[in-house]
Amino acid sequence: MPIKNSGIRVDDLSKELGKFSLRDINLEINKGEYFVLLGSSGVGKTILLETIAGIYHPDKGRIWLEGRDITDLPLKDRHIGIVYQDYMLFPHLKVEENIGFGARSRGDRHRIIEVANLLGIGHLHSRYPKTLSGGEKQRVALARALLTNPKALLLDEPLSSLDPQIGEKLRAELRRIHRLTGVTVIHVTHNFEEAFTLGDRISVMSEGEIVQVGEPSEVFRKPSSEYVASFLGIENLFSGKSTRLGDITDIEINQIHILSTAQKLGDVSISVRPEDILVSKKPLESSALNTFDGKMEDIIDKGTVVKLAVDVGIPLVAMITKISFEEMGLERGMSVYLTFKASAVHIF
Amino acid sequence: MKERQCGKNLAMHHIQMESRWAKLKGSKFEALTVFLTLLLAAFVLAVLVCVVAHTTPEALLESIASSEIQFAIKLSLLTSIISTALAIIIGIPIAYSLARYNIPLKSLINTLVDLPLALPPLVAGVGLLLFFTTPLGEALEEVGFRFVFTPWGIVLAQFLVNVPFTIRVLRSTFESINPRYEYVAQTLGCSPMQAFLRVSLPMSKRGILAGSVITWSSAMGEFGAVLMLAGATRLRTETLPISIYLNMLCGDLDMAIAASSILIFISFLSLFIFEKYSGGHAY
Repeated sequence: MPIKNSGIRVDDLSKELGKFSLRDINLEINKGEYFVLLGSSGVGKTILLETIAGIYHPDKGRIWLEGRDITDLPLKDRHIGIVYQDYMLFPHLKVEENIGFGARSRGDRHRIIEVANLLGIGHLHSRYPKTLSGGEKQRVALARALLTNPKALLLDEPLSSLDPQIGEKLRAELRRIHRLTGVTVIHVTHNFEEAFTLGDRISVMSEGEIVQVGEPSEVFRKPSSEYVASFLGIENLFSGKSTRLGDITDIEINQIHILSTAQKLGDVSISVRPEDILVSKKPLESSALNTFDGKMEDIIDKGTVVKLAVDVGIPLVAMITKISFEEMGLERGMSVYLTFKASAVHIF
Repeated sequence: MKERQCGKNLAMHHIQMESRWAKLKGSKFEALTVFLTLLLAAFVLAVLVCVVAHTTPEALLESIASSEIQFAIKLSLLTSIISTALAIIIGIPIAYSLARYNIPLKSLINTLVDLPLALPPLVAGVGLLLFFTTPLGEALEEVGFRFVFTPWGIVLAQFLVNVPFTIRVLRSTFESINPRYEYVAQTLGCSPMQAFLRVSLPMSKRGILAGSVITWSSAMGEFGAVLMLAGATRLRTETLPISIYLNMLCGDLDMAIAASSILIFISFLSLFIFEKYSGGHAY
């Protein structure tokens, strides 16, 4: 039986749907938790979400919500709200009518203003969805879902259609609303920054299966498989020991010393973005604190950019444009210098 | 002499135009296809003008005011409005189920539902007539559903021939609406039917309007099936098309032209409305 503060629980759930399938999914999400389902597109995240919502019936397995088996309940009786990437605002209804769509009682009617104000969209009441910006639309969609006080809120790529700036703003908004309402959230995304900053816990999905569940730092630091590591897409990810060196931090990794402006001591992980690393044939005189020489092991042509794998004692990956790659006449086996600023070294 | 010169000038002018046009518009192939299009458009216009211009406006108005044409207008309007309403009311749930659900034998059902589109209406009419000679048909007549040679037969014939059009238009309308709108509505407390009524139906209103107009206009013009089932009885089952037929038979050209002119006007009007509201999704 489900435990007491259980939010959503999924037992051995399987579902075949055309070319997608879910296999033996098990999830235990606490009440009030912000849970992120992370995975690239086409791995079945949305199907899992829609199966929990009740749009599809599982072929096998049970779904529990706050201790109640909801597997066979119709959508309308589940008390689960859903918000899609494409908002799905009813185009024939005004903002106010969209938010109030689920209102059943007089009390719910009063809540329209409350929820609209919570999301900062009170001034949009009499507008039609097609006149709203993407960020405004997603706020209306959130308000509409929150109006009925759902026990769980399912968010399917809620920030992916928005401009990065707006998306970041709304990300903070999601965190605030979650704190205020305490609703259990499952947030589906392919963006690991979103997962890292929002999730109390993250689960990584691959081809219809959950491959790892854990706290963000755990998942990112210790990817349980090659797949998770490569999906998370962090290159130049190393673990080492950091010590204080004046105003900056010195991280020792495999007898190589990397300097960083970030302050975190002890056992740490670092990452350096490949595009922050300069490649030169001779040592550079510059203000950058990190310079290493090494042999070029591999060249990966990505079209307009080229990734160079260089062994400097640790395997570093640098990314340069195709044009400079061709101008420099780089070849496999050459000796090159890699230079990057201490501020480009991210510690976590 | 003068005439020849004029002809030469015209030819020169034509060649100049042609070359300028060719430069502007590109290939000879394009010129050919555009020419054929213009030719056909001109031909259609000519045919229509022949009908309307065959008589004087006064004679046309007089014929339209005659009691026979007035009867035909009223009967056509009444039967077509009833058969269109039926086609929409019955077509909506059918089109919705074809758009949304996985029905067993779906493609077979689709073909059967669409078949009257390809079938000559005359054949549909013969089928209907024969249907009412079967025990089931006779039983229906017994309890008061009399269709053979009655105005209700007009309604039934129009309905059967046109409902596939209605379903086609409505089905593509429903298919263009993402089912997630209804899922969201259901998570907000709607039953599937409420979600349909509160979300998908209002979102389809342009498609429903377009479907109604095209159905109604076809119903106004329906002839073959009506002739078979309801017959052509003057001042009883005399719709506008039947009126054209009866008046042509007895040589009363003015009356036939009056009925034809009304149908031409209705065709233009409904095509205009259909083009305006169909295609391109409303939202």
